[in-house]
Amino acid sequence: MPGREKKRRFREDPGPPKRDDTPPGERDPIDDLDEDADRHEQNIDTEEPDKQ
Amino acid sequence: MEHPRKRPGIAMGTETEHSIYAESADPSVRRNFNKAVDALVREAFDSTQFMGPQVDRSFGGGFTQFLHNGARLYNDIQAPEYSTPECQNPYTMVVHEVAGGKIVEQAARWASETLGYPLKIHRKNSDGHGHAYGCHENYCIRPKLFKELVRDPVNPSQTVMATFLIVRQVLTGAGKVGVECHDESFPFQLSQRWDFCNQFRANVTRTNRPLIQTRNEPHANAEKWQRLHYIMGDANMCEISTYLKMGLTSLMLMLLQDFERASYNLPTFMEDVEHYHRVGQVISWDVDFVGRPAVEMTQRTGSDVVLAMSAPEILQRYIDRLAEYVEIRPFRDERERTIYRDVIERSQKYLGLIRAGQAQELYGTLDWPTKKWMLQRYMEKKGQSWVDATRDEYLQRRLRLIADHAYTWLDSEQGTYFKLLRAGHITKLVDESEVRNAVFTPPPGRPQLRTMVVNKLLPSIVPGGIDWDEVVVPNPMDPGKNWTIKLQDPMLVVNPLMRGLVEDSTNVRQMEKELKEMVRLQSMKEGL
Repeated sequence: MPGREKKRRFREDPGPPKRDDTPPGERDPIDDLDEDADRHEQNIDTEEPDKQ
Repeated sequence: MEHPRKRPGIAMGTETEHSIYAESADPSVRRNFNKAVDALVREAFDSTQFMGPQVDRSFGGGFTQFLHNGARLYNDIQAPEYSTPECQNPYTMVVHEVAGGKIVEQAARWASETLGYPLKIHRKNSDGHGHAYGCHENYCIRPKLFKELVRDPVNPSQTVMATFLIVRQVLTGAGKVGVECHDESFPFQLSQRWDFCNQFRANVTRTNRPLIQTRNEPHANAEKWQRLHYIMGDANMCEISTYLKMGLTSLMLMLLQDFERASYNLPTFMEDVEHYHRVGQVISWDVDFVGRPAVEMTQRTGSDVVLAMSAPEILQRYIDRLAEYVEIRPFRDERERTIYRDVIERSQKYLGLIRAGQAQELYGTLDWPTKKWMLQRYMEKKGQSWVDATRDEYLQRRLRLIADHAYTWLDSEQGTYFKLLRAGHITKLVDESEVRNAVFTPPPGRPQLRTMVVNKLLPSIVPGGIDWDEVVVPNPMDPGKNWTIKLQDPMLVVNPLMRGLVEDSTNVRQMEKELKEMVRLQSMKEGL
């Protein structure tokens, strides 16, 4: 319906750097895995509906 | 091999049921999956960029709509499901699947703002508690092969295709921590989905999931095309895993379609087909490929040869056959052959590494090796190993959090897959510019024509009047009745004549009639 649109814009994604562009000494993402895991603690025990 | 008649390839697409979590301290909010999914799809439907001119229309209004890029987004059993448009080669297919992830991610961000709590979206296949969701694959194949593959009696095409679908997980498995639904204990397995396969063949998707799904909904002219619906594949994050999954499977189907005797000399399992799902599970759990399932090969002479081969060895036989086939098949154009040749060359290279015991070299290329060696490095930094993972419940939980939740999180800033990508650990297949284009525009072929017709006929289209193979408008000559513009060839090529016809037409009936004739002539030239 007219007026429904929220004029939201798709966010520009600059894309990943090429492998050679990775700054030397940048933090290894493996070192962040504990922090990454903690973000999902609430969900790991959630049972989802059976889907297809 | 005999030389086949020149034919089009196979249109393909995926339907991904995303996992959705509402982040809230209130359990009633967390359990209200429908509210979260409805909010997400409504945000997408409110976006001019995703919907094109349709956005201001009042038709539809339900929780399923076609997007401007030819895809379909909907609330399917409390999951945001994204069906890619039908694509005519596996490369385009990957571009559109990645674009779908971007759309769902963006819509989830908008919905989070509206709802006032974050939504997390994942591309995975289970919740770790015995509940599964799919990443279904669709392949438009000829009716004769469709019948062979889904109907009684069991025949060589069925057993060959089923064997291929089981062993392809060596390359395409998404990788998973632990085992669900079985009294087995493995710290890591190849596939997320095989734990949920319970039978050989059936027309069900939510319980007792089959290896061969018999659904018969062609969304096309059923005399020329049927849609094979394969439901046991994994939802992949690595673009190359998806590429090989769709590329090898569509090429196998083309081979079976083109050659009556394609199944000769290809190994199949010795077990009765009713036990094939168990074979698939055992192979998924055997991530180091120690076991060697018994297989038989039917020779051209008619004698059976029984062999013991590992899953990678069986897959090698199939890929070798496809490598021969890709060189002789008369594809529509050389770009198509180049893409399929690339699928084969990559498969040969990666399978060679796996067979040489060097699967760790595929960290960052394919999903299961990426997950396995990501977790291994994580454990090594803590002085732990896979042996610890078999007996330490806390460690198992941490590994599940990392592989099944953090890695699969569709958040391009915080998801672990995307962090690995930014750090240069992940090898991409497609360009970001192609993905961005696919967010807004349909791929070549029927989706392109469908979107053109939809744009042309707005605002006349009746509520719910857009489907994969038709667009419905009211009949101005007969109030209360409708006209249907049929789009029944999923492999059609949009040519300048068709484009001009749709753009310039002022008479729907005439447009429908002329389009039909143009598509008929095109099919006839290709011998369909």
